[in-house]
Amino acid sequence: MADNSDKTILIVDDEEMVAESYELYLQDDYNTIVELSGGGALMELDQREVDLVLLDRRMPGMSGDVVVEHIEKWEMDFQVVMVTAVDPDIDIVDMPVDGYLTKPVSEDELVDAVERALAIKQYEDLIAEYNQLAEKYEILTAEFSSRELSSRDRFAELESQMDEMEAEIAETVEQFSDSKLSDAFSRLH
Amino acid sequence: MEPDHPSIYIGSTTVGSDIAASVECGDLSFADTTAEGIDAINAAGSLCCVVTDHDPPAIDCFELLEAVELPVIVATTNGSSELATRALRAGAETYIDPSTIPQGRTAVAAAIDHCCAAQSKGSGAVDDRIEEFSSLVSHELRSPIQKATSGIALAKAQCDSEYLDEVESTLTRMDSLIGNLLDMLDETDSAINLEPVDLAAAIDDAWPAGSNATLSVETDLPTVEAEPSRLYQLLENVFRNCLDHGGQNVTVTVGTLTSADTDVPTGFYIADDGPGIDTDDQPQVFEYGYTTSSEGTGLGLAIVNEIADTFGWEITITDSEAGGTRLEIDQCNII
Repeated sequence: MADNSDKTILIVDDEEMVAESYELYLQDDYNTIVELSGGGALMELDQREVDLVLLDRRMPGMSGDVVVEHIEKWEMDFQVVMVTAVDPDIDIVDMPVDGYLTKPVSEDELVDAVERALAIKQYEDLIAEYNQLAEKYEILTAEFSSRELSSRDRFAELESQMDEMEAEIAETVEQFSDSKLSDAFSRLH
Repeated sequence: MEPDHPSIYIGSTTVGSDIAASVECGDLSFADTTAEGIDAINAAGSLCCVVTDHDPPAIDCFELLEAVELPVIVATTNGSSELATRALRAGAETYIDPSTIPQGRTAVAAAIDHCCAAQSKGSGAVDDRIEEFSSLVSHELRSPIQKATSGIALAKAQCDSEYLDEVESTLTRMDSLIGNLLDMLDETDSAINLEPVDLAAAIDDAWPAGSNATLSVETDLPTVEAEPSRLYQLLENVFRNCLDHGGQNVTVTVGTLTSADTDVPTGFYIADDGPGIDTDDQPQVFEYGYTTSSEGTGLGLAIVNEIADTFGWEITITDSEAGGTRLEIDQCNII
């Protein structure tokens, strides 16, 4: 599994004991911040870069649903995993979240969900970067002959970079313990 | 959405055809006499309502009202205010004399549609209440369990005590009970929408991800008529039972049951190589609350039995060839 010690996770739950237990589960591998309200979470997100938010859904004051609406509206780029006692319904299709856990969650379930969400983000970032390189590759191969390109060091670097990224993408896909997700991503790229 | 149930018109086919042309929900079939109508009612699985003239041959509308429990619309061509009063007092859903109102037959059709709508609304209201209760149970019970589980995790980080493990195990069992309770509530949902389901794909979906157990599936499993979500729940419960009792390395085999005479598929079996169930105990395994495990809730297989019953399937339990348990699910509607 990738080194995540530089990743920051914001834990949002109105039950302090619950939030602290999540922190206990994650603090060895991640930087963690705890907020006990939806409003507090938004203020924190406005001031800090985070990589993932663990968000309770039903909280007094601002609910988790409203928090994710703000996150989407503000076009914030991090993963959100809902951790809630509310059973998932069809409405989660339109909910801008990257994971949904039903309470009570065990340490393993929480850690797995966090790792999975971060791996998906890593995969998405890699694919976006790879597509940029592939686009440039297409343009160059359409413009120049292979003989002309073979003499250009920068083009060789581009090819090498694409090979490395393909290997990295494959490695990321293998991280998914769920074979269905892994197969789906393999087909995608 | 559940299709609308049909209704029956007892009386002149010509009048019935006119009414049928205006009915919007469900089909309207016809019976010339009340006796034929009652036979058709008994033969039908479920009906929306019965429409009858006051005095078709042999049995009048009052005898019909006593004989059936369905809503009865009395649509007579020879009515009177006295007859209307008597019919409504005898329990008629409504009374219409088409000859006295413009577009009378359309009005009868509207009354049939009204019956259908009232039935759908009634069933929907029950489902809504169940869903609301289920949501309440889910949140109001799971939240404190999460809080207690979190407290145990924090306490374990501070001290070591065997009692903490016991409390944690109790909380896990409570969570399992709540899960089963919610499954049971889901079972009471009145709308059953059967559709062809690829059994092999359903088994693949329901098999617990990340399990060390081995699943061995026959290549040619049939397509069965079922409701996908309930079938998923049935399979998930059976697999969970296999793993709970047979251990994480159990081998589970799924195969097709066929008719002894024709070799035509009639159902499927799920067998494991776990410790099995004593023959004396086998008849009880589908009873609510029966369990041989201190961690079990005794609801898992009872729910399996309920679901099989809902689909009209026959479920039996026996020993597997490997000495474990074999569940046979037969009388499936194979597509």
